[in-house]
Amino acid sequence: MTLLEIGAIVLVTAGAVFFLAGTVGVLRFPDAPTRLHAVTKADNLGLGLLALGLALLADSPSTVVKLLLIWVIALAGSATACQLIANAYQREEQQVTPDA
Amino acid sequence: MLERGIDLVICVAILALAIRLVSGQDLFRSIVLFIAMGLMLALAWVRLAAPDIALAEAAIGAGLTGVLLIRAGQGQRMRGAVAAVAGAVSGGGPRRVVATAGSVGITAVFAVVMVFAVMGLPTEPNGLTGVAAANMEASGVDHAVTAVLLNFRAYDTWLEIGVLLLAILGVLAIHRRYDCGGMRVEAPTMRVLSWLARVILPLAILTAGYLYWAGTHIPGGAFQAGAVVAAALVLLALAGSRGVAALRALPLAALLVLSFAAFLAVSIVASTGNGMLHYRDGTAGLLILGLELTIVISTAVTLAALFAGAGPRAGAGEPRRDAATERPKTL
Amino acid sequence: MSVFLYGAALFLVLNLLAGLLRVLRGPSDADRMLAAQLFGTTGVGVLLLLAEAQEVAALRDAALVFALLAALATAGFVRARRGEREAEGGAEE
Repeated sequence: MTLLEIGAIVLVTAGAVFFLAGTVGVLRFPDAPTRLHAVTKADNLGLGLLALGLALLADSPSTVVKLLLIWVIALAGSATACQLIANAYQREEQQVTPDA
Repeated sequence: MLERGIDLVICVAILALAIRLVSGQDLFRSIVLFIAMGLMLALAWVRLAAPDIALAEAAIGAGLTGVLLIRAGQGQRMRGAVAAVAGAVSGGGPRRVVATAGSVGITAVFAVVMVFAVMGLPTEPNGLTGVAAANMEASGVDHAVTAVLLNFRAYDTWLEIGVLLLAILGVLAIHRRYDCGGMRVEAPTMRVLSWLARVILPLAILTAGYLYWAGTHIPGGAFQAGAVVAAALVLLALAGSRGVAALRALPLAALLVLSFAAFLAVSIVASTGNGMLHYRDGTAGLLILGLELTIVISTAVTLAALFAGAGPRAGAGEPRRDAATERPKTL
Repeated sequence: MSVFLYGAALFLVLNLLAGLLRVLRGPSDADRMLAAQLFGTTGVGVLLLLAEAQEVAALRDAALVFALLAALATAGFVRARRGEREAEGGAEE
């Protein structure tokens, strides 16, 4: 096993731990804003570590670039989604809708 | 061993999701479960070594279908239709028993037919695999899936485009609109969404171009590219981008039928006497690229128009408002 | 190496399915939508792992498409809720 492979295993494992933390947060935290915090921060860090780990195994520079691009796009998407959901939740709370 | 574990988990998850999402009473919950099922289906295609379909499922199943259903659900909620449907189901009595028995019966019949169909599948590659592989040279492309879709069985693809066309014609007929007006400009929601739309649009167009071009030699293709463009258009509309207004000026009908018409033209003009869509020697590669480009455009416009059509019809200040409420759509 | 990658992929898929509990429980639609966000990120991770394990580069393209469209449903959700509020006459701006 090469040094690169060991590095990949360490990074991917660390990423998986963050994914687990995100899932536990989504299930265990008390309300939507705290759950959002868990899913957005932990999962995206997990994805970043995973992408980095896989980049060590990549066979070409273009694959490395693609992996990092995917992570950056996922970051942009989920940061935006987090804002949108938090905003929608806040409005719902203010209105005290009966079906909530 | 682990691979089998993944396969098993995906299979069980798809079945469980399917049952939960049709048996639930909460519409929005079912929609989110459907998005999750789209993801699981994409993973199933990955495990079945069909990356082309996994790509399509990622773009359509997990991306566009979710937003289409949410929009359709919004229309239903605003018309109070959900409450009516829920009431009909819970207080059904004998009608409900008949409906349940009927759907269970039909499902059982299909399940039996499927089991026999799967058991009847050839375990060895049958004759056509060899024929396809032998003719790859003449197909004009290097990727077997594209060769089958746009050369060997181009006829099937043509008819599939026809199905898409019929679907959107149905939507347009119900809405009685024949331009891109359905894609109306909404008030900007939040600046962060406009920002995302501006970031995603160029990346989506780049990705679509890449998928379109890649389809000739690796998994990718025109339908997937079209779906990505459609998703970017939908995101722009959701963000309230003023650029969407420009879409109203597009000749919607012409773009919708573009691909179907292109196949028709090719089958009349550029085919040999050996049959429809039987390309002349040496022209296949170019014709396929051209046809795929029309597929990208028509798919993108069709899916975006489906989204526009799925929304609530009673737009503020639109003269059709009364007509729309008088004739409630039964879905 | 591929055994490790498949193991990690299986682990993420199980994470994803655990997230379904949040969809079932809610209680608010915002909770369900944020669970969908969890599927998006985790799904990208699974696709990247399988791309490496199965040696199918095209799966990275699927992950790319997935990441691009991850926020689409959420945007639709927010827009739909706003449309409903405005229709009820409760426009607050």
